[in-house]
Amino acid sequence: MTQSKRIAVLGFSLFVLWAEREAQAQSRTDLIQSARTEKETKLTPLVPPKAERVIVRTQNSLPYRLLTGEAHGFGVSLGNMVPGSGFAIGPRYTKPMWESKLILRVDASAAINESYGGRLAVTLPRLFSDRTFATFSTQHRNISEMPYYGLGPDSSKTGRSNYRLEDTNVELRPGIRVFKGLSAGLIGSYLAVNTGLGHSTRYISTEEQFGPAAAPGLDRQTNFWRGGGFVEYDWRDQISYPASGGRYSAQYVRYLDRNLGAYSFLRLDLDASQYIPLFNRTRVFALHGSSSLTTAGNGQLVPFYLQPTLGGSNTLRGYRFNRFYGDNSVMVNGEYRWFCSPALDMAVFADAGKVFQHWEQWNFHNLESDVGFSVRFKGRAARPAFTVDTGFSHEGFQIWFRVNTMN
Amino acid sequence: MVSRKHYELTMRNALWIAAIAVAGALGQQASAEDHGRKFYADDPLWREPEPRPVSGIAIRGVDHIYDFLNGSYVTPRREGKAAKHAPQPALDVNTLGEVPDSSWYTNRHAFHRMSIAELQRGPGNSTPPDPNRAWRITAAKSDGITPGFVIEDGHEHRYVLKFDPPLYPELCSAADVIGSKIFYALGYSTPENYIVRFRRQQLELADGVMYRHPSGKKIPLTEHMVDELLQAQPKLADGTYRALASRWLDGKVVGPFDYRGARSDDPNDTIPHQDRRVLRGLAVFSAWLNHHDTSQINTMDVLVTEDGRQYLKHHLIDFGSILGSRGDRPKEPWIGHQNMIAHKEAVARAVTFGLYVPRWQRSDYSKLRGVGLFDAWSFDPLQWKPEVPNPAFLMMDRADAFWAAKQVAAFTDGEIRAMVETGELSDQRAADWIADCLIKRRDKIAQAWSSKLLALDRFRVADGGLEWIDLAAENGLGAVLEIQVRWATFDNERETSEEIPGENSARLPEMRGDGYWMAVLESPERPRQSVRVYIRKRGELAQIVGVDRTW
Repeated sequence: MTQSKRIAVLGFSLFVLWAEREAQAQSRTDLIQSARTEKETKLTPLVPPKAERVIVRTQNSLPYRLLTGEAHGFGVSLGNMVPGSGFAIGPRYTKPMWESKLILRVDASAAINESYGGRLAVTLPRLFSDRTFATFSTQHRNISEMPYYGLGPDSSKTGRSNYRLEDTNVELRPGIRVFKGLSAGLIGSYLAVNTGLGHSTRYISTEEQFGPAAAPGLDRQTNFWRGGGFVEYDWRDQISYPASGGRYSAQYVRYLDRNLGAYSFLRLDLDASQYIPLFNRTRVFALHGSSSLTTAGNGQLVPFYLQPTLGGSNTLRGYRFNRFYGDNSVMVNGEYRWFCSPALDMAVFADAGKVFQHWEQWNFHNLESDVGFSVRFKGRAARPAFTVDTGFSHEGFQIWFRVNTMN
Repeated sequence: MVSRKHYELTMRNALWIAAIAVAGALGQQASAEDHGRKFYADDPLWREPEPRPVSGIAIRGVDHIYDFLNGSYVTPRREGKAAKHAPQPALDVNTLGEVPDSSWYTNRHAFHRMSIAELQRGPGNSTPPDPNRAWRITAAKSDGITPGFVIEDGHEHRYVLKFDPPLYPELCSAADVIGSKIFYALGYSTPENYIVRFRRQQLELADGVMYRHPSGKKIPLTEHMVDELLQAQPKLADGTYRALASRWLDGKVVGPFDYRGARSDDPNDTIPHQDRRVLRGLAVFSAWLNHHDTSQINTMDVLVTEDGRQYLKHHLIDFGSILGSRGDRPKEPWIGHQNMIAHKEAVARAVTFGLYVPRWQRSDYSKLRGVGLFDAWSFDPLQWKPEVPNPAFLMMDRADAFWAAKQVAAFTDGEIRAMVETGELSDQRAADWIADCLIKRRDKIAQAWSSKLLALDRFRVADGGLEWIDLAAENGLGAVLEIQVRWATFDNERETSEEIPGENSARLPEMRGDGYWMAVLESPERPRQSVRVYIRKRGELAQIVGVDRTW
C-alpha cells in the first residue's frame, strides 16, 4: 500500500468515526457510551500515587518497623535513661509466649555520656483465671551523671554535684486481684548498689563535694534484701490518660543491709490520684498527692541514693531532676487540662512539695512550689504521644519532653 | 531537489490532509453544537446505559497513613479551594437533577417508597449464617479496628464475623446493621449484615489459619486464642455470644474506591468521583447518621458478572463507626463537629484556656447500653464534619445537598424506628434514643437545606398546569412559600429563552406545536433563589424534562 493510500484509508477511518459519533450523539445514552468508548482507548494500569508508594515503602522498611516494634518483636528504644543523662538508644525485644500468658521483654540502652543499662522482665499477666499475676525482672543500670545537691530542703541549686550510680536488681512481684480495681501483692528482691565518681566535667563529683555526713552511704555501698508488699485500688477510666476515676496505692518495703549492717531501713510510699471530668471530659481537673516516708533503726541510715527525691518531670516540674534529697517527702500536684483539638490538649499545673528529716515535719508548710503549662500531642487513640511540660519556679524554668509516659 | 513522483505524492498527501482537516473542523463544529443542546430525546435519563465489560482490573489497596495525611493536609487545599473558586456542578445527574441508576447508586426509598418490610430487609435478610450447622473459621480479620474472623457456614456462604468491644456490648454490631439498612434504602450498595447469636461449639477452626499479632508477626490461630477472644465477650443468658455477621460481597473484591479522581483501568469510570452527586450527597447522609469515618477503607469495589458481562460495582461497607459508635469504643464528643486536624480551633482554644464551651461539649449524652455518644441537640447539619476531610464532601454544592436532604426527609418516624429495630438492641430505651435522635437530626437536615434554596420538587404537568410540592411545608418546617411563575419559550439547540408576556400563573401557556417551554419559579421571600422547570411537548404529551436551581 502506497503512502497516499495509507493516508486515504486513515482519513476515511477518521471520517467514519466522526460520522458515527455524530450519528450516535443523538441521545444522552450515546453521549455516555461515547465517553466510555473514548476512555476505553486510554486505559492505563492503576498505579498508586508516588507519595503513597513512598509511605508504604517507609512503613515496610526495617528502621520504621524497629521504631514501631513491628519487626517480629524487635525494636529500638530512644530517649534518656534518667532525665539529664543524655540521649540513649538501644535494642528491645518483646515476645508474647504461650498465647500471651507469658510476656518476655528484654531491652538495653546506652547513652552518649557513657551510661548504659539492661533489663529482662518476664510477666505473667493472667494466672488462674485472671485472678493472679506475677512479674520477674532483673535490671542493671550504670548511670554516669546522677545529680546530687546535698541533703534536705535547704540544699543549694549551685551546689550540684554528680556521681555514678551502678545498681543491679533482681525482683519478683506476685500479686492477686481481689476484685475489679483492687489488687495486692508481695515484693521480694535483691539489690546491689555501687556509687562512684561522676562523669560530668561541668559539675564536681559528689565525693569531692560532700562527705558521708552530707551524703550517707557515699563512702561505702552495700547490697540489700528487699521485702514488702503493696495494695492498690484503681478505678480510672483508662490507665494511660485518665479523665475520670482515681488510683490510690500504698507500698511498704523493708531494706535489709546484708553486708555492712548500717543501712537497713523501712520505706512507705503513698500515692493518690483523682481525676474530675467536666463538659463531656473535655476539661479535666487532675489532683495528685504522694508521700514517701522512711525510718531507720538505731544506728542505721538511709543511704542518699535510696532516699526519696523531688524535682523532675513527675514531681516538681519547675526544678531540676532530683533537685531535693531527703529521708521523707511529700508532694501535691494540681492540673487543669483542656481539649484544644483531637490531636492536642493543653494543661496548666502547679506543683508543691518538700523533703524533710523527721516524720513530725509532715505538713504543708515551707513547700517548694512551681507552676507551668503543658502541651500534649495526641495520637489516634486520644492519648498523648508526645508531651512538653514547662515548669517555672524561683530557681528558673525547666522543659520536660516525654513520649507515651502520661500517668 | 524534488522528483516529480515525490512532488505528486506530497501534493496528494496535502490534499488528503486538508480534506481531513476540513472534515475534522466540521466534526468539531457539529460536536460543539451537540454540546450546546440542553436536552436529548431520552432525557431525563433514569438509568445509565449498561456498563461496558471490563478486564484487567487491578486490586487496589490503600495505606491508612497516606489516606489520613492526604485527606487532612492535601484535600482541604485542593478540593476546598476548588469548591470556593471553581465550583463544579455534579456530573452524574440527569436533567432533573436526580441521579440515574448505575453501578454506584439505585433510586430507592425516596423515589419508589419501600415498605417497612423492605426497609428492614435492606440488601437482604434471608441468608444469615446457618445457625444449625458449624461455622468454619477460614481467616482471622486483622485489619480494621475490631477483631473478628472470616467464617463459612454449612452452605459455604462466607461472612465476616465481628465482635463488639467487650466493655460496650451491642454498640458496634447494632450500628453496623442499622447503617447497612439505611444506606441501602438511601440508594447505595451495602453488604447483608446480620446480628447473630452462637455458641462456642459452633465455631470450628480450619487448618492453617494465620493471625497477625500486634507485633507484626503472623502466627497460627489456635482454638485457645478463639477461646480467649470469646472470653472477653459478654455471654448472653442462654449461653450464646452476640456478634455481627457481614456477608461476603458477591464477586471479586478489588479494594476500596477513592473519593477523588477515577480509576484509570475502568472504562465505565468516566466521571471524577468528587464530581459525583452520590458521593457529594453522602456528606448529608453521613451527617445524619454521624458516619465520621468516610475514609476509603470503608468502601469496596467488587467485580461482578451480569449477563456474561463483568463490571465494577461500588459499595459502602463497615458501618460500625456510625451513630454513637467509634468502632472499638463510644465516639468522642468532638466527632462530627470538627476534623481530626483542626489548627485554627486548636490555637483558639489553646490561648483561651478552653473557657469557651461549645454546644457539643455541653450535650447530655445517653448512658444506655448500645448507644454510645449520639445526640441531636448539638447537631448542626451545616457544620457537620467527618474525621478526615473528604474531597467529594468538600465539593458538595447546595443542589447536591438538597438532593440528599430530601431523601433523608423522605423517611417517616415509623420507618426510622423500624430500621433501628434491626440493630436488635436489648434495651428498648436505647433503640428509642437512637431513633429519636435520627428523627430530630432528619428534621434539622431538612430545615437547614430547604432554606438554602427553593425546596420545590416533584414537578408534574396535570390538568393544564404545572404542579409541585413545597417540601419544607410538606415536612412541617414552615408555611407554603408564595411562588411567582414566569413563562418563556426555550430554544433547545441554542439554549436561549424568550419570555412570554402576560403568562404569570402556574397554568401552562398556549403551546403551539412541539417544542420546549420554561417556567421560572421565584418567591418574593427568597429573592436570590429560583427554580427553572423545562417542559417538552411532543404531540399532546407535555413532559417535565429538566429542573435547574439557582441560589
